Amino acid sequence: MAIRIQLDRLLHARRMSLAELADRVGVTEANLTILKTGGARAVRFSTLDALCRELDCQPGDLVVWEPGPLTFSDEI
Amino acid sequence: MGPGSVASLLKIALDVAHALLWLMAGVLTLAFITFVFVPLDNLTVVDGDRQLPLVRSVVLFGIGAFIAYFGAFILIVRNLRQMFRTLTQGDPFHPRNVTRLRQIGLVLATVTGGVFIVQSFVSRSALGYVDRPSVGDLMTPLFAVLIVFVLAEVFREGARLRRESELTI
Repeated sequence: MAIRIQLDRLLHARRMSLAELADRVGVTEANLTILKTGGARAVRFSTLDALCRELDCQPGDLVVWEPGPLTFSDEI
Repeated sequence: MGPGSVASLLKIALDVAHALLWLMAGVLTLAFITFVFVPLDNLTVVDGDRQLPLVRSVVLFGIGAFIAYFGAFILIVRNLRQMFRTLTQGDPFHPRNVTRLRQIGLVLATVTGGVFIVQSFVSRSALGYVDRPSVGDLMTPLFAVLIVFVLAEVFREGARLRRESELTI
C-alpha cells in the first residue's frame, strides 16, 4: 500500500500497548490492527484527531506515503 | 421485518411463488416424460369447427417451452429470495446482489425474446389458431428489463459505498 500508518513506531516510542490505545481512542483493537497492517480503506478525521491526541503527535508522524501500488481497488 | 410489514408480505409472496413455480415445473416435466412414451395417434385439438392434429414433436416442444419458461422464473425468484435474505440480514448492498440483479435482467430479457420468437414461430406454423405477437407486446417486459438493469447499477454504486465504509476507521 502506498500509504502506511506508523502506529507500531509511535506505540513503541510512547511505551503504549495497542489495547491501551484502543481503549483511549474508543476504537476496537481489531480496527486498530487493520489500520496498523494497512488494511484500512480510509481514516475518519475524528479517529485521526483522537490518535494524534493520545499519541501526542502530528498526522504527518502517523501517516507516511511510500511509492507503490494501492492494495485496494474501488471496482466492484 | 415484523409481522404484517411489507417486507414480511413480500417474503411470503416470494416463498409461495417459488413453491408454485417448482410445482408447475415438476408437473410439466412429468407430462413431458409421459408424452415421450404415450402414443398420440388420432388425438386432435378442436377449435370451433376446425381440428388441428396433435403431433408428438409439437406437444413436446410446447411442454419443453413451458418448462424453460417456468425454469427461468424459478431462477429469477431464487435470486430475489437470496437478495431478500441479504435484506433481512441488514446488508442489502452486498456485491453479490449486483450480479443477481443483472442475472434477473438477462433472464427477463431472454424470456421476453424467447416468448416473442416462439409465439411468432407457432403463429406461422398454426395459421389462424394462434395470433401473431406484435412489437407492442414487448414494450412492458422490455421496460421491466430496463428497470432491473437501472436497479443493478444503483446497487453497484451502493455496494461501492458499502465497501468504502466497511474499512473506514
